[in-house]
Amino acid sequence: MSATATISPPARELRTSSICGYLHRIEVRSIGLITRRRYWFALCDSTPYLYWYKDSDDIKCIGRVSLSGAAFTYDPKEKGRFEIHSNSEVIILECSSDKQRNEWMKALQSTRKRSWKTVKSKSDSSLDISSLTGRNSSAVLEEYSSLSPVPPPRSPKPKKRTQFTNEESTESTVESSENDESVAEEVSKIEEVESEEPPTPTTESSATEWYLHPNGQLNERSLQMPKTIESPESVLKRLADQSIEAPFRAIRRNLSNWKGSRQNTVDEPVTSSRKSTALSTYLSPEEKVIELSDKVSSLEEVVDSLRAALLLAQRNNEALKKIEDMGENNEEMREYLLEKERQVTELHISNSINARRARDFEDQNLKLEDTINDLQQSVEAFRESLRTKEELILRMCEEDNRDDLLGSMADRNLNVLADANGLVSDVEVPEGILVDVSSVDCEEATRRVLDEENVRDVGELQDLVEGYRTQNQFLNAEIVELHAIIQSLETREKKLIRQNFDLEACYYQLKSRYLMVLNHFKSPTKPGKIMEPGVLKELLEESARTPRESQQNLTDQLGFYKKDDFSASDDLLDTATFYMKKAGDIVEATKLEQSEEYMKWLQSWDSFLVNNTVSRPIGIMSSPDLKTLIRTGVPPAYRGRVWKSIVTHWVKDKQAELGNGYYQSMTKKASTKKQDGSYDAAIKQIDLDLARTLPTNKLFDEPGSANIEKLRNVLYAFRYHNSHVGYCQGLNRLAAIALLYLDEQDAFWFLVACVEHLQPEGYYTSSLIGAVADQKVLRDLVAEKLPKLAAHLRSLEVDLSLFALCWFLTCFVDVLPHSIYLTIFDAFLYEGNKVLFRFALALLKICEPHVLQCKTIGTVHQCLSKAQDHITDFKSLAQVAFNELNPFPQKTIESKRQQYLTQLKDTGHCM
Amino acid sequence: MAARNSAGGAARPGGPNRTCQFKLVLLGESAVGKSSLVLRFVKGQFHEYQESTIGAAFLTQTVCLDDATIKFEIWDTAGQERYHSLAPMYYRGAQAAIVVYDITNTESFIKAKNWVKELQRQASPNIVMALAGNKADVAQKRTVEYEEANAYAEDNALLFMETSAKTSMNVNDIFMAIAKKLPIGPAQGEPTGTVDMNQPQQQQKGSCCK
Repeated sequence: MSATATISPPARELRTSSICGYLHRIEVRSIGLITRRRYWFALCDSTPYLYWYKDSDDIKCIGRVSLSGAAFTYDPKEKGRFEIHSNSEVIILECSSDKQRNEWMKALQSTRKRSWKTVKSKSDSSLDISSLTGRNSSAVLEEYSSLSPVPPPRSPKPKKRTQFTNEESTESTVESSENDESVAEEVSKIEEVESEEPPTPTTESSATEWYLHPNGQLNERSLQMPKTIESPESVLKRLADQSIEAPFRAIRRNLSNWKGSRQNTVDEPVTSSRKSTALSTYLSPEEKVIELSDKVSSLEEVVDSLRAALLLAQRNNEALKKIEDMGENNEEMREYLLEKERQVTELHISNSINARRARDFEDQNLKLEDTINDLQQSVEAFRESLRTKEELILRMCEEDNRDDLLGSMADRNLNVLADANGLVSDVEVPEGILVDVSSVDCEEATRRVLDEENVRDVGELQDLVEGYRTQNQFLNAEIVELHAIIQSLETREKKLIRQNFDLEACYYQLKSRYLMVLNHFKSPTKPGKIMEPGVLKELLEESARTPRESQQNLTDQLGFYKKDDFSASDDLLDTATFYMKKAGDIVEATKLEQSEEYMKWLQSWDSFLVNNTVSRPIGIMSSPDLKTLIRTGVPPAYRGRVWKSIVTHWVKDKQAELGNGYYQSMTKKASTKKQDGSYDAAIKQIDLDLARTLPTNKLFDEPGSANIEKLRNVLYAFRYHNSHVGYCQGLNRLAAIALLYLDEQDAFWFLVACVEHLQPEGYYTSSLIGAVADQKVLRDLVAEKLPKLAAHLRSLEVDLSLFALCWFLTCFVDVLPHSIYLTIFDAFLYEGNKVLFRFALALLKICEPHVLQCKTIGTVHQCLSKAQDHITDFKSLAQVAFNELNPFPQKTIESKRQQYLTQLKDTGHCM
Repeated sequence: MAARNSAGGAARPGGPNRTCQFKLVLLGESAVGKSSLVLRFVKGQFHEYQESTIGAAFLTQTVCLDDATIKFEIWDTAGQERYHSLAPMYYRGAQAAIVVYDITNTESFIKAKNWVKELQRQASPNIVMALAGNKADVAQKRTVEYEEANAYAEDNALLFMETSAKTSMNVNDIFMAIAKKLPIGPAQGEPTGTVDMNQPQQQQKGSCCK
């Protein structure tokens, strides 16, 4: 594996599960074709998705995967690799080390958990899907429900228990060292058991129970005899059964391997020590190694099948979702749920067994290691003796030869023979010693090599075992978590069903009553069909009452009072038309929020924010992609975060320069000054304007309203921060808008960004010279872009700035509805003052045809003062502002502005 | 609305009358109640916390006199000092002006006098000016005496009334008084900006401006 998979030190925000870094994504495209691509992955717990991008700076994501119902798994054998299973999709990722993998897995799990909690709390509080945040959650909910609505486990099945006892008995009886045989035996036994015991009838047990504690121990009640359960008959269920069996079979096979090997390890040290030949002793450690790897592979199999079972469970969940969707009869569903539950229990038990096995396995391994060392020593001893003997034999042979030679000579010289004999005996001893010494050196080297090999093998195996153990723990935790999800899903489902029933009952009740009324009018003369006189009146009263009661929230989420033009009318038809229109609006809004385009828009924002949050916790960077995205508007749910990022982007240098606690010091200064009694005009004006800011908003409409104090602090602080501007009416609007989404301090910096960075100089100063100059720039731009309108206005001597000045000073707050001007603020914050020209021209362009029809100055004035009435939605306005008006160079505006500024300064500034 | 106007004036629907348009500007210190006066006059509404005005707000209202219908084009200006420099843009060509002060605020009366001076100096010479002492509903907190203001108004040939946008006291009256003082009909000479809506070439009322 290339070492390119790097991870930046997880950029941790306040939230702990934010993580990002480069990972490899492994995709199996077609049979055998595997691609490995490196992407930037980012995870942020504000959203239950894992996003990936081409690069860390990217705004648009390449893909994302929902984590809300996902399952995670990994194989300890494959370094750094892990899998995310979600919506029948499998994402295989690879990071450079196991440690990183752990971090990612942890982050993934915590994100999933968090998303669950939020969904749960949301669904607990309300199921309102008309709001945007509600929209998010409902989107999530959809995914949840499509994923894992598996019921919690209840009673373990009898079948299961017999299998376990069966295993125990085999454990005690199997003595044979031939594993294959025992496996075969065992499998056949199991099959017997299975055929003997067909799926036992089951009944619903009302108590939802968890048979394993999170720490892996069995719950006491799991040992009790289970209740009989009804027989589930769906095909799905049977399929699930079969696949669920697989891991158990693998476990059993593994188990029997174990038994065999245990005996070997007990027996062999004893026998080997007694072995007369070195060779046979030497073989045994090798056998051990093979055995061990066999076991490891069987364990792997277990894990694989466990994983498969997990996957299958997930797939089943989808199926369940389908059933849910179809809304088929509840009986079937319940049966299915029960079945799922049972499977999860089984998985649990198998898992705990598996964990136990793994521990045993490790002990076993340690023992084996000792044995191998012992054996090694004996091998060594044998070798030593063997070599010594060999040497001796060699010497003897040589001596024999020499003896023969000498023997032939001996005939001639007997004396020499005697001498030679003495020589041989002399030579033998030192030479033998010499040989011995050299052979020991050799032995040591070999032994060292062999030892190393063995130790490496054992070490590797140990690592693997350790890996499997952690994997097992992880999978256990995974199951516990998934179970929690399932439980909450179940409760939610119940709640929904209940709600559904209530609604349905309500609906039918109403329907029958209205039918009755209709019948009454159809045949008023027929006897028996005449209602009691009170009924109709009651119905009318009710219809008038219900909507009033449901209008508990007279304000929208931002605190703006909802416009409700309807005043109770006696005319039934009027009332009906009103409510029909209202219903139509609601349906339209819902449709819009469910449209693909809308979802795409939300997703692109989510994608951007996730990467931005985790990769660049401070501020944002400028990019054309982001500009395009912001021009589509920021989803209200994200606006606070985005605004804060953009504001930080503008003022971060200033903030660094002024230091922490600058805002606090400014507010403090303001309050001490006030206590001293130095009460200047600006402060006085601020006090006058506080309750006169955004009067249509609940948070600002009265001196005691929630945000008034904050507004005061922000404006006071700004007055002392920028004494050149001090306070200008209009800034109260900007600060109040900021306070809708930001806290006090950020709202202060928002104001700083607006006045000192986004608007040109002199906009809010005592002479408003900048704003006046811009009016002249606007006039020129109108002449250029809307020549007909400009000519018409000129001919009637209409001064556009009478109207447009406040568009620029308050960024349209005074003229457009808040849903539109807030979106203009999004673009204004990112791009600055030029956006105001774009929107002003767009506004004029849209009402141009109407203005052109006006033939007197008075009517033009009236028309322009109602220019905003022609704007229906932001999209059409933005289309004109950002597309139809192009090209729109900043340079032109800038040079014109400078020209008019000089001109105004020269003439002493009078419009 | 028509009903209210006819109550305020002496409307004679169907009678031979002319429609004249006049530009009226409201000036005065911040938070004295300029916007409230206009809102009361135009829409009959009152908000305790009327949104502060940026730049200026434009509204129209029609009143009926014996022989004419007067359409006021009202420019309600911002009160803060720094918007002062923009005021000429709004009172330029105005045929009427209401200078408003707050009877509980002496400073605002001083400021009103300054506005009168400025108008006398810079606005149209025949502009009809009225002085309105607003917030008469809180007379117990009064700091500007009626006599003092009245004397000042007489000295400067201003219409003068104490008004209350909250209780609508004198609100319609002051506008009616101005309307009566405005030059109507060709006998007094066609004033600039006055439009006779009954003349055939001006029948196109502008379909966009209903």
